[in-house]
Amino acid sequence: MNDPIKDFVEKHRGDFDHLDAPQLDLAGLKARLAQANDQKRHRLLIVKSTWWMAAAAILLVCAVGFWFFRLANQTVNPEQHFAGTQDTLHQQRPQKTKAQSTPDQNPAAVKYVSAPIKKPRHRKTVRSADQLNQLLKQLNDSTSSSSRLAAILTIKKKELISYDMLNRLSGTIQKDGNSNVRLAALSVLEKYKEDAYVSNLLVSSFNHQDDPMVQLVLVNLLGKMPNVQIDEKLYALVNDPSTLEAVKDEAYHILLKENKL
Amino acid sequence: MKYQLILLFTLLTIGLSASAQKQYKVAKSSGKINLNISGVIVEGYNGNEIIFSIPKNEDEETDERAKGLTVINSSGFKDNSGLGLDVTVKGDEINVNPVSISNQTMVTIKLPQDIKLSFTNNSNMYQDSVVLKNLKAEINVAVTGNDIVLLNNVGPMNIRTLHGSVDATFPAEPKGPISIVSLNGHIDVAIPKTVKANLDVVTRSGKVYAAEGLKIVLNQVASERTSTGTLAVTKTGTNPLLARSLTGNVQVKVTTNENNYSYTTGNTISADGEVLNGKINGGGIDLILKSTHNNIYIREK
Repeated sequence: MNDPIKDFVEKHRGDFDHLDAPQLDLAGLKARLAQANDQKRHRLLIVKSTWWMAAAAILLVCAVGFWFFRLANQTVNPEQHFAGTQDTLHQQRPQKTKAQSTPDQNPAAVKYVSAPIKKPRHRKTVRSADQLNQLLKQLNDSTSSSSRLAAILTIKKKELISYDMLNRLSGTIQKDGNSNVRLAALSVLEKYKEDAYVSNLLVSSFNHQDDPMVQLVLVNLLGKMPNVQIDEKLYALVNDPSTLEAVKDEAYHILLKENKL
Repeated sequence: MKYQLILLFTLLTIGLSASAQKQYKVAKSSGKINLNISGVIVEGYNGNEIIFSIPKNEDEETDERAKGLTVINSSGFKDNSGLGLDVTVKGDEINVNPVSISNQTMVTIKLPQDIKLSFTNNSNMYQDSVVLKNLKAEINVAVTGNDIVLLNNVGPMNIRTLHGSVDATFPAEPKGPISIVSLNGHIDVAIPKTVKANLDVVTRSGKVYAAEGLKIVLNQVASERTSTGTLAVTKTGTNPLLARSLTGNVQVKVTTNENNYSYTTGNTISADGEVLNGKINGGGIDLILKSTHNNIYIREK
């Protein structure tokens, strides 16, 4: 059988016989092996940490994006109504967090974003929706002032406050046909008088007020509040012959106190 | 006491003049009656007709020329009742207006109990008493100067008078909310001991009197009125130190190296008056009583 490798070895046997076998360097071999392992391990670690960092960065970006998305959803929209949508069902209380602007108000006025509130359970939410629908229905019930009063008292007790509700109550103070209802709505806004948004609503209500009982309460309330400018309206009231004497007295009192007479 | 006298007088008047009355009837047992007159006595009853009546004036001369004609005024109101009143039924509403503003007679109305009542009088000159008794439906009263007497009306009710007073007694189970507001007049309410209510009582320059038997439990006092305290100020020199209080007197204690001086200065700004929030029998209907410049009396019936 013709084996080319066997033939080659037989032919060149003499060429290999003068070479000595190398001595075994066990320590050097071990050192080289250890170095190789170290290099391998080091490379592995570098690769792993990079991936982890990349994953962490992606996760962070996702988390921040999700947080902003949630925050944007929780921002109170003055045009939103409690009725109808579940997004607006949370019981919101105005808390000063950052400045924004609403379309129907003074741009200089400080606006608020609702505080993050725990989402109620679904069943509770549905019940709240029904309750709020019922309340808004009551608040707009032109046939019964007692019904409107009852709605306002419920809003006050349960603190169902949102921009929309504040605007509605401000409208009630200005336009409701019943003084008792106007006064009740005013007592709700009075609770939040420290807020710039509410104080703007109070000033607006005062400027459009034609009920003497409500005028009296508003003069007394706004007259004590710092940084509220109602002087022009006070002058208008004291110079108006149809103004109730008690209201004039109160207006004079405020102007005298401020040394503006 | 005042409203009891008014009631006695009213009943006597009604009794004596019962045989000599002019009456006008409207068949109605539900809906709402709007009264825009100077004063009225309304008594709720279990019937199906609204009965208007005024005492017959025996000395009244009859104008022969006016026979077959109807009195009409500039507002378009006609004396269609023969009582000097325009009574118009429009759907569920019954509107009652005077034909002559200056020559109004006190009208007595027997009203089916379930008809809502609204009384309005913005006149500064023509103001008689408003007495409402035994009504079971909603009541609204908005007047300038009328005194108002409410006797055993179930409610709910919104009462507002600028210069008049309000005297009320409530039945054992009134319906809320009940809101009674006066600018200058007193508010006097008598409440059965068993009534459960949330009280909201406010007066700026008056006082609040309450019967101990009613066991009113007050909520925590409003924060504005508890914001009192001691402010320690160290000041040297000749410039004056100003102290001002919005809710009460200012007490100043001056300490020098040698002596102590202490005095109280008067408050130039009017106090906020009384703001009481509380519950009777654990709370129930909303009862709001506000008199800006007069006292509020809460007594046991």
